[in-house]
Amino acid sequence: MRRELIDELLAVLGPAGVIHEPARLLAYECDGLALLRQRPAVVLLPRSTEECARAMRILHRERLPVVGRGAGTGLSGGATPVEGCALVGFARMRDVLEVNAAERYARVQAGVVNIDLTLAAEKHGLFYAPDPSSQAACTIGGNVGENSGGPHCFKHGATTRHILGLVIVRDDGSILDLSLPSADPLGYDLVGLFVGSEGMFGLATEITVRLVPVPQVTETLLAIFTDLDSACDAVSDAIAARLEPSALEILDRLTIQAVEASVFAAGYPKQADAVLLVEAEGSEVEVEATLAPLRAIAHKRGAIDIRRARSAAERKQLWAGRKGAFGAMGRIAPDLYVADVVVPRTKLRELVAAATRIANDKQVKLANVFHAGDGNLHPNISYDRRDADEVRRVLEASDEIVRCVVAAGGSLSGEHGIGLEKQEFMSLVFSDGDLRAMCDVRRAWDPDGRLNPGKLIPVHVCREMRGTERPR
Amino acid sequence: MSTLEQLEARLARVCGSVEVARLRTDVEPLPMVAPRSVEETCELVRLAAVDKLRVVPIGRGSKLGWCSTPGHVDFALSTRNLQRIVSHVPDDGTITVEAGVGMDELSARCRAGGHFLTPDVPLAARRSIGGVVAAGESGADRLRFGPVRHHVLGTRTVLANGLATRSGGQLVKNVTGFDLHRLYCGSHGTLGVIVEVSLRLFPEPEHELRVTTRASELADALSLARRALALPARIVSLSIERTGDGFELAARLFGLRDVVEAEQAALLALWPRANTQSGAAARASSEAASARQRLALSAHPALRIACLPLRLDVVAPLVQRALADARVAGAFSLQPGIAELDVELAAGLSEASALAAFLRSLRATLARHGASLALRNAPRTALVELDPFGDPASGLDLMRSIQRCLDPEGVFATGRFHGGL
Repeated sequence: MRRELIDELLAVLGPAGVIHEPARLLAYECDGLALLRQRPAVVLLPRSTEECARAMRILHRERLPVVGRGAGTGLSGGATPVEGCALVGFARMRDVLEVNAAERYARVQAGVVNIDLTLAAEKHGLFYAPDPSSQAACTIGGNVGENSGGPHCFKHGATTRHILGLVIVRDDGSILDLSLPSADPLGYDLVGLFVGSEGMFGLATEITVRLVPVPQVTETLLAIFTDLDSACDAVSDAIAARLEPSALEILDRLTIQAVEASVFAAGYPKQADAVLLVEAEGSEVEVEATLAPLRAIAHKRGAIDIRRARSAAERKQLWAGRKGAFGAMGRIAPDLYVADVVVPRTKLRELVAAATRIANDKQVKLANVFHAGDGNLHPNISYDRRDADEVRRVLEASDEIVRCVVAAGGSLSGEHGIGLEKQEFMSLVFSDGDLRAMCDVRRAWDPDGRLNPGKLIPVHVCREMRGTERPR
Repeated sequence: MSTLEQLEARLARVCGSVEVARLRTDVEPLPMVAPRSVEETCELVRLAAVDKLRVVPIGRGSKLGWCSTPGHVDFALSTRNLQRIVSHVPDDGTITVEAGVGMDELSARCRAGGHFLTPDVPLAARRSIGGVVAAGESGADRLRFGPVRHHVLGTRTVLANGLATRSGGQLVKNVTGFDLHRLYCGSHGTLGVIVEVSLRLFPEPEHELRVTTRASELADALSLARRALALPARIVSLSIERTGDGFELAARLFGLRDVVEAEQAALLALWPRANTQSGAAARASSEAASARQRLALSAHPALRIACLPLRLDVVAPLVQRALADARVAGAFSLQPGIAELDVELAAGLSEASALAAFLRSLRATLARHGASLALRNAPRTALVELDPFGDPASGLDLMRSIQRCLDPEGVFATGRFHGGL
């Protein structure tokens, strides 16, 4: 990048806000999808919406591509830099601006870490519901970009249901303030449209989120199964019985072993082939009325034991195991490919079994840990990226799993997004006409296609769209 | 053959017959077609695009009074004949239907599968799911379930190029692609014709109760409502309605029997002289007594005022005083949990200019409290001076740009929605 341009950006953001030395840029060359890497031309770390807007105006004048990044924990390559881009990070925008306990909302800067928001709300008897496994690191801005989920989204819904307002810096550096609280949008629902747009519409710098009261009672159960199929069937039965716990999570044998051997050890029985982690919340009566039939279902499906967390500490430990599962898989192999697909909840058993079959065929190590209640599977494949043949087999297995899930009525992603990872699969679920409509809407936000270019929309559709008129 | 007759003949060739629709009672009628399939819908939109005709998509027409009068329109395209249940998977808690399916029929279908359909809108027999989604109409049950846009899993929408396009899907969790269905939801047919909707369903309640009590003053009613809302209960809806000699509060509770009974006991401890109805009687009297239902039937101008929940304690008395000062009478209904206030302007302010002046002043006062005011069934003459949806929203230029990108030739009539969209 030209020295005078760096100096201009330094004048706006200060020395701590501009990273341009090649060695320091290395840390930003990938997100959680470590298979894909590209060094950005520069990394910008604004401290405020205004600073971000001023920097974006310079980048607009220079016609530079821009990639937004929260904490870089995304798993679909949404924050993978593109060649010659400015990567805008939010690590210096970590202020909780307001917690309005009476009206149950909070306003935060985009770089606030998910767990920090819940900690800030907790003292008011409230919490922020979406809780991705990476919640100790991932940011609310990144969650907005990807429409992130988490175990408790089964009851509370994904990020989009919790975002009340946004301040967005547009491609040209203008500021779009959509933060005025209102029950329904006035005009088109720009906030709802923006959530999950993977950094291709603008950069969210301030976010107003809905907070939820901490439930009176929370109970956590661990049902232990001797086979994975039965655990899946128990979840399908619970959905069919119209039960509404707050989370229904499954961990398989390989995951349990990895967790138990790690610092996240939660006391999951190592001899089990699967555990089902169930949480219910509400009044005492409601929790009991939800868990009693769930226990019966688990027993009917062959659970050999059902344990109840007897204290908040035990509950926390059970969840630490679940949320630390991805990290624990580092014990199986140095690298982890975290797949993310959604299946109809009537077909859990069938599609988990299909993923296992595919992994066996490709001779890769598959560990399942997933949001069973939402049908959101994570077939995780452990591998070593230095082994080219293994990498090839991992990608082939993942490709086959996605195709198999789509053929059964499933979808490409439940919470990780499309990014670069699943871009070319988009044509499996959407027609060119569907994708062109997405391109049209994107053109309204970002006429030059400079924001996170080359993501989400398959290359062939982008090519057809190129040269299309700019909006009047 | 006149130009109109020629148009009608061409439309009839695509979908059999042409009827007549009125977008508002005070504008001229125009031809209306109701295609019988998604393919016919696409063909009609293509016909309009090729011949540079302007189309207004409508459902059953129950909410046309929410919108302004459009500019030039050649024909209305109603989705009321798109009646297919595309897929219903009770054990997955999802349903996908064509846009013309009535809310009453859809609700019954869901109930048969063991599910409750939100939004629970008034006059369900006169509303189709496509119209409800296109207007972003939530029910009073949004207190428990949230707004309708949160439960639309995906849509199929015929865009200005005549293609039926998909967004989202049929699964309860999905982040594949941009959420264009969120954009279409509440866009009042200004971006395309929603022809199919997928919805998330909720468990059919095992037990249902309606608990009511009375208060002589609005402030007392609001205080009783506030105490009820502070309970750790998942109240489905909570209303305050003006009656002849005071105010009636009604809370709807439903769910698992034990839970509902515990919630009822907690509520009875807070509300003096409360009455309880259960089961079908509770549901029937909720519907019949609802001022929202009367408002939905009314042809009079009506206001929908919304704000943050706690501000209602200031906003509601303020509106009550303004109405009394202007000598306006009509139904007055509050939903304190979701901070919505519906007011019917049944008598008083008959002059359009007086109505416009009253509303401008009220809207300005409400804005100072962060409250918004939407005007429904407004006479055309009043709309010359007022946007029925509100003062210009932030992002209006971007909204116009989105509209131009999706519909560059203006196939779908503009001028009906907020800011002339």
